[in-house]
Amino acid sequence: MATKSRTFLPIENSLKMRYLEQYAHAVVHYSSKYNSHCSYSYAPHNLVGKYVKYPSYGDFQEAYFLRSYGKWWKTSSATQKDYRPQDFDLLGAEDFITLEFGSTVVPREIFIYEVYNPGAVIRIWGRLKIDPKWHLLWEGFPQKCAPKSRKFCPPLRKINCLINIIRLEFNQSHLEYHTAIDAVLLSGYQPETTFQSEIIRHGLTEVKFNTPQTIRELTVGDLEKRTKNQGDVSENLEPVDCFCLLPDEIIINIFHYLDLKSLSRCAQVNHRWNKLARDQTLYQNISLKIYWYLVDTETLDHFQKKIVNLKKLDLSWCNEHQLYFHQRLNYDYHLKLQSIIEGASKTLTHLSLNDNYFVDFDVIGKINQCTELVDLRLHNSFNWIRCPLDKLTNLVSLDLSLTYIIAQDLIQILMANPHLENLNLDLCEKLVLVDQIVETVAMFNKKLKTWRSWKSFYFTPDGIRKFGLCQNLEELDLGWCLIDRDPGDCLLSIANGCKRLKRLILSEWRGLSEQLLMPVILSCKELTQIDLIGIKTITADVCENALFRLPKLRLLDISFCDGVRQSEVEIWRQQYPHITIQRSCEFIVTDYL
Amino acid sequence: MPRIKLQSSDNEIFDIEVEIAKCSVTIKTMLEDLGMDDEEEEAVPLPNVNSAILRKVLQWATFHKDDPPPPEDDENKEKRTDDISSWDADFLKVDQGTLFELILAANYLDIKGLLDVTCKTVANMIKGKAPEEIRKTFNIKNDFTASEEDQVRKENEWCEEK
Repeated sequence: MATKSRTFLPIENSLKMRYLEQYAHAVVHYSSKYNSHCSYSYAPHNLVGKYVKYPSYGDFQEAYFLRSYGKWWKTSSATQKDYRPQDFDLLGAEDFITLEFGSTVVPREIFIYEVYNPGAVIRIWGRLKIDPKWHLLWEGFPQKCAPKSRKFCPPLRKINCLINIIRLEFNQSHLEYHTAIDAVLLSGYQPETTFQSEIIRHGLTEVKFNTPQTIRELTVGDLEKRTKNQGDVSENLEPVDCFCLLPDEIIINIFHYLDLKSLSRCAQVNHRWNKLARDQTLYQNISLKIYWYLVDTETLDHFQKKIVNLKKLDLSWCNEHQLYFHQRLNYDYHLKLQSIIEGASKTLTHLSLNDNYFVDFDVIGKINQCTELVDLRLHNSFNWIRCPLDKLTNLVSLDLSLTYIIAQDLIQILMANPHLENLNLDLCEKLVLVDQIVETVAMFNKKLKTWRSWKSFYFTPDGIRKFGLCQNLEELDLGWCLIDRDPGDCLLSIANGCKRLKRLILSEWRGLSEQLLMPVILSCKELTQIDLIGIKTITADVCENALFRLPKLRLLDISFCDGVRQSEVEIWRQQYPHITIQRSCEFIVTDYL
Repeated sequence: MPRIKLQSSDNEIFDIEVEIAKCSVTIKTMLEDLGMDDEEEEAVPLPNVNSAILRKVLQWATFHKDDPPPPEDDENKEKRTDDISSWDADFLKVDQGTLFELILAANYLDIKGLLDVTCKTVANMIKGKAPEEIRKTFNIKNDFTASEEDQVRKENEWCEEK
């Protein structure tokens, strides 16, 4: 295979091209954000253009923040589990952001300006906006980094393809606090003529150079081998097919441990394997999230033919293989998605379509037919306004974060689903009548354990007081929900009613005083996490009480709490080493370089 | 500790603690059904397991005798394969013939923990490989005709980058 081992020939050596450095021009898509659409603080849009804070290090609103970090988001009972754990991502991607650049280039270097808690970028992809094929440019495990800003410049795969879109994937589960990125720079060679572009896109690369596929296969394979601790058992040379010894059901049992990609390869081994790899029981749960870059209409069709009693379906992230902004060309995909959901409507219990912009009113209509649904995830699907899910009655978990759900539709869902335990309404901007929603929950959803409504601005203390009626509540995220109002005695009601509370988030409740918070600390003994970010009136006294009186406390976030001195925090960290005390602020440390 | 005798297919007798033998649901049921008491003199015949494999199985069972009972096999069970303990991984560093005989023995004796870990090990040997590499690893004959092979490749081409 002489062709494979040929050394890489950079296209710029053969064609006269212009070298170019450019910052991101627009944000195309993202899965995580800290603020609502109207806010510029920590927003994805901050990645557009040149860096503004680098090389300073700190908690800057001018950078892009991911909403989650560390293990804290995973200890909740509402943590979203994989539908098909066999198809797990080795690098553990949790979020992504897709950026567009003004000029099309053959990529040579990418700089990621990380200004707070670096080390979360695990993959970089590139593609041309008008071509759905994604090229993997780099991947690597999450990194432990020193707390200083960093210009991250991983070694890119050597490819001779044009790109103007970049996708970054993150795994922030090892970080101690939010990660922040200030800017992304893409450098490379730009064709000087249309003719050059055409040559690079369609012509010589295929013949002359390594195709990126072969490079990718090699490296991903290597990676898998490296982490697998029980790889191949010692090679034996006996010419015996040991599988002949095994009955069908054991081989199928072995196949149950395989990911979908491996199953498709097993189907190509021989007749027997082909038959066994079609076994229906192997395809009761389908999760294509980690294959988002491969999923097109044909892929959906391939699985539609295999599934008979589909129970769980995860097509989160699975729209990136499409052509951006060509709705008509994506028509088939949209129809196929609907037909899969419709076909499985009698059996489907779990459905996840997070960050999938093909979810629109039509798809919602099909979802409404899946009356067995227990778990529905529609995070960051924003191509619908009305959500008439009036036929669902078995929901236990519902994720509508970052959607435009309105109160009228939500109340209808809540009234019909008495078993609801987990409800995520983070960043739902159109949710106005929140007080009424809490009232409905208190009346109809007695089993509710988790309520999240990060940045829901329309609460009044009266509405929050009603949470006191939800006796099973374990997690209450009311961050930014009561910014400038006087909370009155609404926390007293929560203290009296919610004895099982484990996680309480009250970020930016600026009217909160020590006196109003104390009842919670005195009576909610199960608390493990408290978030008081940005409450200037919080005193050292109340923190000491929380640290001392809550035996299960593990996380106390008092970032931007100016009423507490740093020296006091240092003493507590010594005194309570088992408790993580977060203390972020916009400290400017210039020039580590 | 009450003991029991097991007899392999090649007539070797193994004298072991009853508690260890009972990790095999097959043996446990046999003892209950036959009303054999713990001090039985007669050896329990195991015609489907030879002495080399039975020795390995008992070695595994001895090491795992204090494990909590495995959870019932339900659909929600984690089907991950990266959770094999280092002891098991070392234990299963054997030739393919032995590994597959262990699978058969675990299946016949109904020892769920051993069946799971051996199947996982084989699954790991399959993962990430192209069809031809799989055939090579397990000496499997390709019985597709060229046109059949083309067709199955086409049917499954979603997983190869286009």
